[in-house]
Amino acid sequence: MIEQDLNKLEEKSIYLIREANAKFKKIGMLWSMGKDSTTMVSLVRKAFLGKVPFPVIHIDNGIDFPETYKFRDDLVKKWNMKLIVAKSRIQPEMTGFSCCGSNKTVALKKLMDEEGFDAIIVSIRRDEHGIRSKERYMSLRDKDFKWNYKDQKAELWNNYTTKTDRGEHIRIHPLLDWNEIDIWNYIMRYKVPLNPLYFSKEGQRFRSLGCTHCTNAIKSNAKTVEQIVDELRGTKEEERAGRQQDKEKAYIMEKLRALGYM
Amino acid sequence: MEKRLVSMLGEKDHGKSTLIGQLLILTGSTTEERVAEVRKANKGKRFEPAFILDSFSEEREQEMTIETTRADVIYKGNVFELIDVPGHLELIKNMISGASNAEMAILLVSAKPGEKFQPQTKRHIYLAKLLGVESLIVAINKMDTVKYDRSKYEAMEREVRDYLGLIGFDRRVDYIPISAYDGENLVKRSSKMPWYRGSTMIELLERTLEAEIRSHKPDGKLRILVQDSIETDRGLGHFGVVYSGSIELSKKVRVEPSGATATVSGLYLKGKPVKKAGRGSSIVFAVKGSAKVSRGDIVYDPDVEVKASNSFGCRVFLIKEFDTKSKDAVIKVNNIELHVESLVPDEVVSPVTAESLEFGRVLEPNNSVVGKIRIKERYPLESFQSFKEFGRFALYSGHEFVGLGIVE
Repeated sequence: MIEQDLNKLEEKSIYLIREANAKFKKIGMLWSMGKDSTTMVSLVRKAFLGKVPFPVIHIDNGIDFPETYKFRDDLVKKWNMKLIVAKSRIQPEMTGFSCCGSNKTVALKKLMDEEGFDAIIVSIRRDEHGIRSKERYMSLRDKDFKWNYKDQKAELWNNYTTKTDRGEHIRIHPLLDWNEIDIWNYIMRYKVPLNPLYFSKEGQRFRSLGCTHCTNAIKSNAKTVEQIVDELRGTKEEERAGRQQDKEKAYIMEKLRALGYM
Repeated sequence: MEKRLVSMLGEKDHGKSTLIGQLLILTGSTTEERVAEVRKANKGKRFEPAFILDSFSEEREQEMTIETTRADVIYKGNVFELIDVPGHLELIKNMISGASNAEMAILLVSAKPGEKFQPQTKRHIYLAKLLGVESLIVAINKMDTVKYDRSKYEAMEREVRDYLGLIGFDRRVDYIPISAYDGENLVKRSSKMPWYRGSTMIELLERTLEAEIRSHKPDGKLRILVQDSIETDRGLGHFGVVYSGSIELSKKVRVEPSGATATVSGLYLKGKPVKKAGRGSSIVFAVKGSAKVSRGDIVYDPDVEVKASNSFGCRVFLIKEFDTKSKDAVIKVNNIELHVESLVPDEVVSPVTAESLEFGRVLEPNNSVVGKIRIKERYPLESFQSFKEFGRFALYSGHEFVGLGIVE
């Protein structure tokens, strides 16, 4: 697992966040309360001298872990953030792909129409999944939320797609260059508050967090950020091994993303 | 640990993905599980190293690369992030997006009878030069299909060398015969080509990296690109990125395009006050004095000899046709938009033959235009030679990306 220069990564992310803020009318930021999007919020605070100028959005299907809800409410207070909860309705007969597709994506679409966001910040990383490595820093989604990944806009020399037609929006990806271990090194260096589910309890912890239905814990004794970093340096297991949606079929993530999933 | 982006170049099917896959395997940069998985999925068929790359699962059905993909090859503590790009002509904008940040490139040319040195390969080289690639490794691939014949390799090398001479490619170039599929000359010296006495592919990457570090220019004078301005608790602050040099409290600076001078009165890095910030920093700064600072401005040391202008010599590679009288053309430089008054070509050149072509008001795609660009506002562009970050631009017609250019 390659550890990159944290300073360079931070500077680039802060640059991208500020560039987005300068170019878009109304930005929302997805916050799942996971390690990546919480790192993202921390970077936004650095970019704007301690303030979070965009609302943070939780797409809530009602079946996140209790620890996650508590963590959310505590941090919203501590960091003085504006929280928007987009309720999505869980359908009991659905799992994995159809569940994520219908619930989270539909709820986000509804919210974006209501709020009139022309861009949202999403905390994906290139190393997470093959198809995510094909994203741009600023990627266009059409009015039906579709990602036309076979015909993306060019992105070169810090020139990004920032113009949208009616109903389209841009996904902003300031963490695209980061690897999983970089996120943990950042959390360690700056003591970023974290959802307690990431730390080992009775020999198990979560390495990647989704909702209660589709996320499984991994075996681990890592009880601190330092221990997690040590654990990751020795692992060969893939990060999203505990996530249902990635396993169903090889091309499922591609489908999900093309349909607008985060 | 040093990390460098290395772009792959070359025509479709000349072996770009195979070379990346094989380098990942031979340097141990991928897990054994991953290799076993690919073997299993490909049971009964020829093992394809190209499939090692995760992302290719989505593109296997079509047997071609659509979008760029990256893979890290780790060797003796250095990391080479290899960027695979599509070889197809119609996907050239994706190739540009992938290759635009790389300073090193590997060009693949197939020695296989019938595959040859293609026009598309020449376009890739031409673009690499325009994009600012500093060093090129030319790999004559598929040597297994010509029985590792020295004369075949030399003929191919000469052909590439002639083309590089034709377009005046003045950067570092190395040549190497390989078989990406069989792993010949990649990490170990090939016993099948004893006549080749040069370095292996991985050694060439290492040596190129070392040469690049050695030739690294000192930081130079201050250049800050202003992104935005905000009200802070202590007054007006400006967001900016330090592209070169360094900024300090109390330093005198000049702002272009206005030409006004000012003194730095406040400086923040990562949200905290600091006295000094260097290259690559995303800063917040404030100035004393009457100078107005706003988005797109560039802040210099007062003695930097760059002045704003509205007319520049340029070389533009078009990927779409372009109407020279277009009313809605813009160029973007580091995401700052400048409106184009006119593009006046002196010459249109084919990147394949380096010959001058006839042209009319509407210019054809896939050629290179040498001429003058006039913009509606004054802006401090520099020549690509003297400072590349402020001497290159993307050209748009309305929302559509139509080409890329450099200031000459």
